[in-house]
Amino acid sequence: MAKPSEPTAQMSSIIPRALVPKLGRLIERHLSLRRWDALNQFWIGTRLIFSRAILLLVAALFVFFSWIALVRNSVTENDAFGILSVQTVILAVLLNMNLWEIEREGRTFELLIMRIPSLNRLIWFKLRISLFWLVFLPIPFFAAFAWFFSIPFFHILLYFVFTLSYALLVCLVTCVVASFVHHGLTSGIVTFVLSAFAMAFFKEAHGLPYRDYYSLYKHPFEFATGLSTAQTAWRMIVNRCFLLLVAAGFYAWLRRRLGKTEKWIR
Amino acid sequence: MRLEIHQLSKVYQDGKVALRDFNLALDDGVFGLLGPNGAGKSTLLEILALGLMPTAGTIRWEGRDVHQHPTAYRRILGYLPQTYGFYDELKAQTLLEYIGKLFGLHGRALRARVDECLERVNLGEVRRRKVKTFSGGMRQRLAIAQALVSAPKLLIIDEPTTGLDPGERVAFRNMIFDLGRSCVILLSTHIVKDVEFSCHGMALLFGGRQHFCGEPLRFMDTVRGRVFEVELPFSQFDGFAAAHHVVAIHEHGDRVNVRFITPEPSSDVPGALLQRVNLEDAYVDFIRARQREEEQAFGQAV
Repeated sequence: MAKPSEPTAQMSSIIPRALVPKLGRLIERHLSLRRWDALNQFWIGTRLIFSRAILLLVAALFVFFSWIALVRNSVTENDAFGILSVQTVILAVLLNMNLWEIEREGRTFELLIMRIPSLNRLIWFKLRISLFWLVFLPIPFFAAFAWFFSIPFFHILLYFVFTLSYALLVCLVTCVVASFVHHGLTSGIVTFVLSAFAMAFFKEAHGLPYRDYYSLYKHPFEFATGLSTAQTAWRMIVNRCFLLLVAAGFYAWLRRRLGKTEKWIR
Repeated sequence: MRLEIHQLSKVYQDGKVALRDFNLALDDGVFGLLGPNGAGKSTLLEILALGLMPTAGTIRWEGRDVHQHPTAYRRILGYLPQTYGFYDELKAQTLLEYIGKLFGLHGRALRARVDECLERVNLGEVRRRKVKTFSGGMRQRLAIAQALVSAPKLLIIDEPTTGLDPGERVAFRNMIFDLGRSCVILLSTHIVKDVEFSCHGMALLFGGRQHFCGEPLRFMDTVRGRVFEVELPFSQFDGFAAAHHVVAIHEHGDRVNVRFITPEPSSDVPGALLQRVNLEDAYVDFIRARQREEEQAFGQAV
């Protein structure tokens, strides 16, 4: 039987404790029950992701990369893309490294396994909130960089899409790694090393044939030169489709790992 | 509603046989599962809750193989594991709403269901209190409430009364009995009285094998006419206990009332009075006999 002294799912909140009930009542009064339920779920999921340590790490991440941008006196779009993509990849790792472990440690994993009838729904249920924050949190930084470096809207949009698609892959890799390692921080470090290695490999391996099609970490304006717009667009689409295919592979792997409930609940 | 378990076995990767050829057919009502630690009770329940995959055998709910239709089976299943956790920072009501939402309920239906479950486990008045402030008994009742949110037709409960005080245990037992009128409940426990007073049927597991399946009264027949009680001076107790199978003692002053089971339906102990049997007598006698068999087998092997 679980007693208060036993490990429980740790939750944190950035809203001051005294304010939470008042805010809750205020919102509840103005929302339909269905929307209130959805908001409640989102709020609980968010509190599960953002433990105090993760909150601090995310804040430190944004401060550090903003500082790097200032110190390096970055002026080119290349620099901006480099900084934004690495920042988003680390954010993806931070948001996902504890996603499953917190449920396992808090012994709430059984609740999820038993209550959510299908594995796809279980994965979507856990991932959707981290994906929301993964998309939402970097937006101000992309906007700020676009403004500081005078990057055109279409360019920053492409940077955003390319960065997020790679970050999505990193999310899934983090979850798969976490299913083996069973320790949040270690999973995060392992995934970061793997992702950094992949980024460096795809950036530096110039001699590989047809690189434009399968290079997962790709600057959107560094496709082969001398091509027409249509040809470049085609390469971009194939490239991102290949990335989605790899992401689907990792998703299937994660699903298979979660299907082995024996390993999770014992 | 009917749950059928046929030739269910589980062998872990390290070669340990946790369950062997288990068979059972259950209809509405509370069914008890008894056995010592390591008998395979929790393994059986985890398999039934689809947490573990059996090595062999089938489980059928209303004639359908549950491993072929896991999603449909999970919809009718309520499970309270032996060890579980809660989101302690949440209020009881919010927690149940969260769990109900996971299951697919929403809006007014969810509110009504949560209210009903909280009232049913007598937690209606503390619905706005955080789970971390709950006592062990309250947490246990909340755990039952979370299992009930989805209105399950099959409720699997693993050692629910461990750690509850006697009053809470009786209340809990009554609640389970009440729930058993409308669904199939499989209750695993170490507390024999819970099975005696709330279950219409029981199975006995030992070493992963099923040794008995039927009504508790039938199991009690195995010791009927063999349970006696005698009053002894305290000084004679050690000698008596070495020669007899003692199941309970009540001390009063320098004398002691000893309840014991004889191998045959008679006793040569002067002053011994035949007693009405209870399930605990039969259970303790059974366990003692199995342990003795194991010791003999071990001795022969050595």
